[in-house]
Amino acid sequence: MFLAQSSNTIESQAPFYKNILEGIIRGEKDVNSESIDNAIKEAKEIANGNKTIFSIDNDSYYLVSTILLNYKAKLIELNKIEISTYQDVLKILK
Amino acid sequence: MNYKTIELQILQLEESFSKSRSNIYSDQNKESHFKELHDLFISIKKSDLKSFLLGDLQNHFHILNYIFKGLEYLDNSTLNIIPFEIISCLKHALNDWVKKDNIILVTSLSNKVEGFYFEVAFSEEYFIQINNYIGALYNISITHRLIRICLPKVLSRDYLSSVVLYHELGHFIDSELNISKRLLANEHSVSLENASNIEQKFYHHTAEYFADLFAAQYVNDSLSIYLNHISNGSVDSLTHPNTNKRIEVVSDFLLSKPNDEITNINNALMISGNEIFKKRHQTIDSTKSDFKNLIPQSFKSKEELHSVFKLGWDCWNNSDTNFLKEFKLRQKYQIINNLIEKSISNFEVVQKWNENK
Amino acid sequence: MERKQIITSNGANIKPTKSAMSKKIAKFLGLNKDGILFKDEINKLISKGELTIVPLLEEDQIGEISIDLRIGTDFLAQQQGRDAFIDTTNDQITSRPIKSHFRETRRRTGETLLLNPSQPILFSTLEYIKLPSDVYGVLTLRSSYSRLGLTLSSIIQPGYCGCASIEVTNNGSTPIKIMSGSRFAQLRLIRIKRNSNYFNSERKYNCQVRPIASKANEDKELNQLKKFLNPNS
Repeated sequence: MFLAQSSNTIESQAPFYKNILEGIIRGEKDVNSESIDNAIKEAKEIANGNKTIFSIDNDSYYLVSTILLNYKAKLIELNKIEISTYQDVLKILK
Repeated sequence: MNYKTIELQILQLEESFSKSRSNIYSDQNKESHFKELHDLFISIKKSDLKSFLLGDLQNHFHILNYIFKGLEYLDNSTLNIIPFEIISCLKHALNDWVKKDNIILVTSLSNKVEGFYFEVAFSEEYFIQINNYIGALYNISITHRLIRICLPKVLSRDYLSSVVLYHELGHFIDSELNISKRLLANEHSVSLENASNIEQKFYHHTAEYFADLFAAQYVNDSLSIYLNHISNGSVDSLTHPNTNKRIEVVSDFLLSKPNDEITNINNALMISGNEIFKKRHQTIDSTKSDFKNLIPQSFKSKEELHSVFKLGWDCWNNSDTNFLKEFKLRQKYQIINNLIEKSISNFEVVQKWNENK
Repeated sequence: MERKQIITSNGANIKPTKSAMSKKIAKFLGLNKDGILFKDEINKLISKGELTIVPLLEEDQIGEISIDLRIGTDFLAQQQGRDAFIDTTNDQITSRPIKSHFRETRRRTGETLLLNPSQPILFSTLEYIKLPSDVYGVLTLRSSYSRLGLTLSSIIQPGYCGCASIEVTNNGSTPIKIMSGSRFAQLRLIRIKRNSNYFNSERKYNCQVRPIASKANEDKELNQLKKFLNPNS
């Protein structure tokens, strides 16, 4: 018998990010789109070794870490964020 | 999924709201949270669901679930037998770590004897995303996040076992700060969703050490003592390290001995800009305490307040030889729990009274 | 100080002895060996640790001859249970306990509660009390509450440890709203000639911090009394 575990019923944190990405891909960039760009840039910094996983802010940890851990190789090569980048990230979140 | 899914959810939620309407919350924050959820619900009801794209329908599905969860938590919190003494201790500990004041703690009493846990439906990140979305669409924002503390009804006044809640609070803090997840990513370059069995074991074990150490900051080795009572000699599992290992880590922490688990976790905390684990209680010698005279212990600080649990355990463990030796077993148990409860209650009442003078 | 002459019933003039004078002075100063304790004596006992009243939110709760006590946070309100009556004669594990006739509720300090007409309510004082073994307490209502139709009178045993239990019934016809933490009762302390060990006899209630439903059915003598009718049981 173990102590009761923490019951963490965190919903998948993806849905709202997916919605923003779909909007960007449709050409509807808004103020929330910035969060996606910032997350990709931060993940790239970590992938390049300029920052660590510990520097990610808690308010965006899920997004940045998901991009970092599933897209690392492409992040290192990334020069500019294109539509294809958003499509790739959307695929990862799905 | 289509708009009919959302319509069904709305009707179910309508029922839920009609039952919750009569709840009276003495806490202003809970009252306003209920109102915010209701305002959001009304706005969704009025919107033209048929015109929503699939993405928006999916988001609304999640939002309505969010409202359901909120009502569930709030409904349970109107229980008029809440153990607010233990909650007040946990709040002090929470405030050491989470500086945001947008958290509402609600309590739920479970029928399960092992039902000690913290339940947080949504992370801060998710909460921000929801607010961004509903802010843009409906010009509404939800001010607070609800966190539910569950404990067994039969043990709601058992302060010896309630040290478990410090461990559970530790899990909550871990999920807030993403420490175990960061350590997993750093060590194995994976997220939890994609982790193998070995990697998952690493994550879960790290999380248990985190929670044990978190608790030890406040309740000393009380949790270890309780662990020994309920799961002595257990072996490693996927989700938990063996009990002896857990006790050893806590012991090393309390004695300031070097230990890899402690070092890894503290480094992670420090590098990510957080507090580190350190002793946050002031131990009280049970042979010199007020309990010896069968009166509540007075505390000069919240550091002393947290040590009331360790004090209770010391009194219980030595109850065959100490001031309790002449009492019957049931009396010993009741006396210790009563004195712990009253000690905490006195501290809180005096603090609030002096603050509001 | 000159000792006044006293004329006895047979006309003799006598001067009181020095010890009698001391007793009078002592009594005046609240230092009498037995009888009601005055403010100075109460404060002295508290500072010596022989009397405990915690938390004492305001010093003026200690009056000249009594101490104001506050309403606590836990309540038991009598309610209609499934049984038609409260059975104080049966302690079988299969019989419904007396506490099933009471609904437990809590209020934070500062929250309110209604005392409905004819509904007995049990609660404890906010203050935890420990009495010296040669002092007992008499608990009564403060006059502002007794004039609303509430009654209370109980004794606290010498050496008692715990929050004082208050049983009150609203004998009026109007519900009365009370607030947890407000001054409700008065405690008078009386010294007796000899010490009593509160924990000497087996006590049903000890170090209580909330009201406990009656344990009348746990009275050990019930079985003896039952044997009056059925000697072989």
